[in-house]
Amino acid sequence: MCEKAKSSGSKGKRNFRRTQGPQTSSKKITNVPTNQNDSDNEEDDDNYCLICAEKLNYVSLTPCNHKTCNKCGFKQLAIFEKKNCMICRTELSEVIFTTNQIAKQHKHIYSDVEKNCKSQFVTDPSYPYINFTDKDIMTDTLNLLKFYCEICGDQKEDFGSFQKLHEHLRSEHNKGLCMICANHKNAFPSELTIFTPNQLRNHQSKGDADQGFKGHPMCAFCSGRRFYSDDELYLHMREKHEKCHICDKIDHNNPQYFKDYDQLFEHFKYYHYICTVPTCLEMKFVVFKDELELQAHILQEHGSIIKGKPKFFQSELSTFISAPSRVVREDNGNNDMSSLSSLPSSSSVASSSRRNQNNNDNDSYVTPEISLHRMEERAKYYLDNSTTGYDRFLKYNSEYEKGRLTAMNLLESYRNLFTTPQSDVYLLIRNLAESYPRGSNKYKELTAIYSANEQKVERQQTNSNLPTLTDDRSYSVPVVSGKWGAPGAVSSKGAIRNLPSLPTSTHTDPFANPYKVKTSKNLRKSTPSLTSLSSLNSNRTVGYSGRASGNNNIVNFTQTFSDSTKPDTASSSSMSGSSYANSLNNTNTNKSKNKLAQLNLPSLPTPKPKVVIPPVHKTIIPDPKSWGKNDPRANQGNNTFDDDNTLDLSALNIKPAKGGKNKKRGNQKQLLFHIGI
Amino acid sequence: MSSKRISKELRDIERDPPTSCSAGPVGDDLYHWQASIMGPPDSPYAGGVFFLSIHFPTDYPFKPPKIAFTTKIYHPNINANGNICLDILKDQWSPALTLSKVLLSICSLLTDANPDDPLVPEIAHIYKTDRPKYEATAREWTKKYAV
Repeated sequence: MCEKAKSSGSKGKRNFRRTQGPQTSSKKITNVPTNQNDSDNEEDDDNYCLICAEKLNYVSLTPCNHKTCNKCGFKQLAIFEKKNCMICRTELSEVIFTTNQIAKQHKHIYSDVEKNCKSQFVTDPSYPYINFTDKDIMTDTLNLLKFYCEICGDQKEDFGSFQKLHEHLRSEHNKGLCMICANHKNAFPSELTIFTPNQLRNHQSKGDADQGFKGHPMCAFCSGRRFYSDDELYLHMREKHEKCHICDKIDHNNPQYFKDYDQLFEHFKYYHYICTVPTCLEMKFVVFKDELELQAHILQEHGSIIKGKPKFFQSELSTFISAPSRVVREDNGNNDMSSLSSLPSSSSVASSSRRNQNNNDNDSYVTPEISLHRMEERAKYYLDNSTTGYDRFLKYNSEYEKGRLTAMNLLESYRNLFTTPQSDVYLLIRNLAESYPRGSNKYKELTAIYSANEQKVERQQTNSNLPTLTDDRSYSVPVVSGKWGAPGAVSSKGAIRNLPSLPTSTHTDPFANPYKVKTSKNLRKSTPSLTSLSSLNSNRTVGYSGRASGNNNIVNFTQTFSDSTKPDTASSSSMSGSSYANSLNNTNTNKSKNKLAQLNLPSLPTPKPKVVIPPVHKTIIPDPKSWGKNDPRANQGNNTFDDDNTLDLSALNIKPAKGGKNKKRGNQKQLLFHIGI
Repeated sequence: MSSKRISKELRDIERDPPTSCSAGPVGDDLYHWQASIMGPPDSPYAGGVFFLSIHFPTDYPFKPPKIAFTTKIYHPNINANGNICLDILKDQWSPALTLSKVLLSICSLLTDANPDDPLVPEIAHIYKTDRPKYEATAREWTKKYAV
């Protein structure tokens, strides 16, 4: 810019205007008009270009009656080669370039200017659609495209291209243009800054701070090759180099580029998980973030290949050993490489995961500065940008800060101040809270206010649901007791859910007593032989299979139990009696059962409610006929329903039984089979 | 050249601030601004204050400003890095557009997403197939990151 200022504006007003660099103009000229701008807006729009905000001298007027300076208008037509209005995008068949004076006289109506000035129109063959109202305007506008040397200043020689102008500047003046800017900036030759070699180096590496330019970015792989901006560099990187798409997925803000595919492959090898199947290697980008994804890919795509050596892959799946090092070792047979590789790979994974964690932390954590800023913006918005209101708001905050206002007073003041419909004073309170350090008293009391309101709002929102909720509760009590005391009363599904809690149920039996008492009569009538233990059994069995098989067990069991007062003997006897159901009972509640059997015998009737369930009964009825046949089925049913039970079963079986070996074996086999699935 | 236009925009924004958004330079750098957008009341972003970072290129206004959200937001046209998919920020840019007009466009993008030209296809899919779920998630994110 300073170079431009040096060049003497020997020709006409336009040159004079152009040579006013920001250094001189900002002090002398622009300051004065900007003051005027502030006073009257209409003047502003009429005298300054909408696009570049420069003062208007010559203007371009479009048939859609839009006005810009001749420089911006001509740039759009000649350099961007777009025949569209810059303001309304209307396609242009022709334009008038005239003085701002004339445009204003005709109130910016294109047709009026055309009517009155048609006789004076001049055109240039290169731009036949531009009607200049004056020859000066034409030369001045067309000269924008000429490659004049501003240092020579005589505008005698048009060098014809940036390259030739640059060469002239270098040989004659020991200066030069930035050729990157020349090729990409879409600027008129006269708009480019002329640099000394040192300035040029600074311009390219550090940029020109006053123009918001931070230097031309350099490609790290192409030995110092610079690009106009990040956009161009990005295009170059995409076309000429390789980006790791896996790293990109992990952290999009930190793309990892590699000079070529070979380097990228090395990176893949050590930091990610390549599929080493030849067809995939050929495709070049079959790489995965972690081993799990690689395994999934192998299983899905190469199922036929791994069939030959299933153990290898299975073990990998189950143990999650780092695969890449392994793959490399297999390929190269080079242990050193693999050991080296495994280190960075693990560290990279760790670092990336750490990075992610940090990101997450940052996401949810808001710094006091951001909260403060957020609160200010929010307040302005709530106040419709009223400055007096905002000042009051700031005053309240400082009063609160000084302790002259309590938190509740502050809330009250906010309520009075923020009356617009969009206002939510509690959000302001929250933002204010977060502008204080966590753990401070002010933070705590303000947050308390906010969260109290949150809860209130939540309660209001759920109000409509409340009646149903209370209903649920009222029901829930009996349901729970029913589950505990008399699980049979619940539908089979409910019973299944209750199964795991059976051991505890024994403790809660007392609660269920009243229930039991009521139902006990019925039970006794229907199945007098049922005992508490049997009831437990029936719970389980019914829950599991809901079939007659359960009943069979129960019947067996009840008999054994009623015979033997001590549970231990009962279990042993039952086992000897080869009733599988006994083992079930034992597994669930060994000790508790014992106690139960001794203490809670009176409460035995409790199980009877199950009997009350009509469906259960009906299903039970057919069973007795086919006891022997059903037993194994029942076992199977149990196994499939609940692993825990089956495991317990097996354990129990091993301990007590001598006679029941055959069945145990059968059970164990089933178990294994189950696990295998 | 561009600095004049940017200072003019700053003057205009200060003199006549647009409702529901604000903008201004970060520190002394005229080319780097920060803006804030209030979540539109009729959108799931209501109640949120969203911050954006703005970089004016040297070629401004012949090239569009680079604008990105710095507050996380759940939207079909805004990705996890805050990049915004908006035509007027790319090929439909016009030198006559100003920052405050662009911010208003972003505001209206928040109210009316454009799921047919998504930047995050997953969100766009949910937006199209399960609107209540999209709104619930957007509201949740707003509460988590922008309140």
